[in-house]
Amino acid sequence: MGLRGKLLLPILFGFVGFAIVIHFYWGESLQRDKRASILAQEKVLLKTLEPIINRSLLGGDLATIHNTLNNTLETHKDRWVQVALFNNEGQQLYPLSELTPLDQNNITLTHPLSLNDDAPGTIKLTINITDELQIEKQHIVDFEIFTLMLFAALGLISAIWQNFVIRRPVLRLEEAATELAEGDYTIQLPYDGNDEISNLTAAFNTMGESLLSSKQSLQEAVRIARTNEVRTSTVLNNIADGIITINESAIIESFTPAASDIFGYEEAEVIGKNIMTLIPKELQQGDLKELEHYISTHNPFIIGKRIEVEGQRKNGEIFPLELSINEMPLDDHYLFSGIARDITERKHTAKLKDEFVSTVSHELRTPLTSINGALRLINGGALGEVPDQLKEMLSLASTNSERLLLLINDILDMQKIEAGNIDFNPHAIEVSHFIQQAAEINRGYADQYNVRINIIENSLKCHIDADPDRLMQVMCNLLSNAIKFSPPDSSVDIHIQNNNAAIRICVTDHGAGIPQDFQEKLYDKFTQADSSNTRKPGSTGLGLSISKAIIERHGGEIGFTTEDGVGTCFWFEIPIEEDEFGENEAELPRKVSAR
Amino acid sequence: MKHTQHPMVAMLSALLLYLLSGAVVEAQEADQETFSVGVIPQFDAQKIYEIWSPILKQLEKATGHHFRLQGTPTISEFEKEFNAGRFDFAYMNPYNLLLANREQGYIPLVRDVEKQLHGILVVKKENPMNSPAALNGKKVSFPAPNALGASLMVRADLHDIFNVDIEPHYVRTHSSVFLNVVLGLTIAGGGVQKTLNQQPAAIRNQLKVIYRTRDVAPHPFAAHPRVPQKIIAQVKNALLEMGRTEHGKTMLNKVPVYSIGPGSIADYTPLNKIGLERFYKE
Repeated sequence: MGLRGKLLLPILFGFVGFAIVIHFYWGESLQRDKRASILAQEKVLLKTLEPIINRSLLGGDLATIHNTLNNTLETHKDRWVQVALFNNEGQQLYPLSELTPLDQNNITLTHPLSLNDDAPGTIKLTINITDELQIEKQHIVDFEIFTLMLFAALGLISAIWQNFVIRRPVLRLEEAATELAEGDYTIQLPYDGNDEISNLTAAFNTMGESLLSSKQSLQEAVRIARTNEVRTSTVLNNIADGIITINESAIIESFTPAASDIFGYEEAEVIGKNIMTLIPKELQQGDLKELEHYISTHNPFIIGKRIEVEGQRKNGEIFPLELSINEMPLDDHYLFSGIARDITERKHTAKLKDEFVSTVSHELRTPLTSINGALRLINGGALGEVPDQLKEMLSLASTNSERLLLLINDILDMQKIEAGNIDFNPHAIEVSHFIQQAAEINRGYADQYNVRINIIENSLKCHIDADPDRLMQVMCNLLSNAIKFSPPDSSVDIHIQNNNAAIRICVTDHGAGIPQDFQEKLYDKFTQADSSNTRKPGSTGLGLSISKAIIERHGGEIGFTTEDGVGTCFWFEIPIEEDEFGENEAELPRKVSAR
Repeated sequence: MKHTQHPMVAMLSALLLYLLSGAVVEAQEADQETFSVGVIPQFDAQKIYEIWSPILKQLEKATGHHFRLQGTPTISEFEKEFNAGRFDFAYMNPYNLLLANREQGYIPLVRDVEKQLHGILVVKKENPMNSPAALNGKKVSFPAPNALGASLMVRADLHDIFNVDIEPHYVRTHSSVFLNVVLGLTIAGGGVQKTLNQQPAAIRNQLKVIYRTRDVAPHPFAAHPRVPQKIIAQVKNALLEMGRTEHGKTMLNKVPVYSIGPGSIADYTPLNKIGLERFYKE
């Protein structure tokens, strides 16, 4: 049922109820009242006639009686059917004719005449009030019709009024809401007054304005997003690295043209496929199987790191691939972007370089070793006393040949580490003992510089799992650097700290500190703080690079803190290995002098 | 048996007649030459007014004098007033005239010259009675004791000719007489032919006349001797003149006078011989 029907329903119910009351209660009541009223009137009239009839009856003046009753009958012919007068003997004196039989609609009033104590006769009046009651009934029907018309008129007026004040505004609102739903947010409805409909219309207008504002904001945001997307995609499509987006299930969601160039797949061929499509099958069961797991678990060893893996092109070719994976947190899920770089060429170049360096180094080291050995023999007097005029020159040759040999060894180490050709043999190292050893090994060197080595322990008895030779190489590098850059009569301090997760070993000198502009390239190869006049002897510029590579291969971390004029602390951390009892033994710090 | 009149009814009737004759009363107040006119109340007051008011207006128009209808509620009241000479002019039955002529010298001016007045005796048609002789000791209705044709002359003849004694029952009007007979309340009734003819057919057809009395001259219009002869002559002429016009005749027919002509006391002297005073009741 529409709004109009619902609004008119109360009027209809009201009318039906009203009609029922009028027709079945009020109408009946009126009829009864009317009938009683008529009977009362007739009784009064008969009472009025009584004196003249009594007098005429007693005097035998029947003519007066007949005239009176004739006239009265004539006067009241609308209601009176017949009137009869009987004397006290029951004889009918009026009318002369016989009485007509009574109709069922007729009512007979019997009025006994009385005069003093006598009862001279009786008047019997028969009336028919059917017509009057019918007229009364017709009046009621007329009233009902009038009421019906009144209600109809009221209903019509009400409908028009409701149409004007309620339905039309609501229809307007409905149409406007439809237009709003279809996207026209500019629609504004006129309203007047302060009623509920007006308030609703005003609220609707406000809603439209809000939606329009939101739409405009959204459009602006979409425009900006599209611009950014175009810009980003343009950038992404034009960079040499392939960019691949995968979801948490490792399913590829985007694939840039550069990635297509690298892998040989068209974008459509790989979208929706697992990232493993791009990985050689033989590797999928190995470490790279973990890749999928690492991604899904947001493993920090994968996420944010640049790793080298092998990829497989569409044609089956397997090639070295540098992959950098970053996560993109979205509303309720993560996406991961992988930047893939084909490093075939780079690998090839590195390999050539390594081979070149290795070849050259080996080719240099063999004769150099011989030269150095020969020089040592000569300087050692194995071939006899060296003339004084040759001693200085031979010493210079020996020193430089050792230095050259040291350099070549470092280069070979570096090359081996980078090429992955160096073998690590890790096993448990008791840290305190290890540090004592390192201090002992470097003590002679320290003495040359008149520098003390102090060991300050602040750790429990614990072990680390590392290759002792390589870790000792790191310690020697750090200690020799510290000794070299320490002023005479100063000390180099070795701190051992246990933070429960890892052992941190910190080698601190009290030298000049590392200049700011040098700190960034500290781990670069062949780098020293000053490559000219302050260059210290015995340095190759590869020590820190080698140390960094060794520590990282142990899963550790290397770093430094420095303060100009105060000194420098080089530290490295190796993940801790708990002792066999699984507990840590607390010990107070103790200062051990290695000297 | 003398008919008893309720005093209150008499007063009311007088009041009604007084109100109905208001115009005439006003005229009397405005002009000293206003003459009272009495009419024997054989009809009800309203009918008398309806009959006589146009006639008196016509008289005023013809004579230039004013006439006032002076009502009386009953015949006996009228008779008393009449015998006392209260009316300047009067219309009454012949026996009243004889009495008043004797007392006051009233002179008949005009009368209906076409028909003679006589009384009749009626019984119900199915009654096998054909002669008044069988009425001895029976209840007979009459309008009033002194009604000339219907009562005095019938009773005189019943007594003098048929030698029967009846029980008279006075029922005020001729119509009541006929109704009483029709309804069987009285065995017979005294009336006049004219009033019988005026009854509705339903009544008239149930009655039959078993006796007709001797004829007498009908009701006269008389003047009191105190009225100047000139004016009496004017009135007499005016009435006779009325009988010559259709309009006048129509008015007079209602009195009823069907053919008006001059009347004299000599027309009524035969009535004296009947000796109606034996039956007259004061």
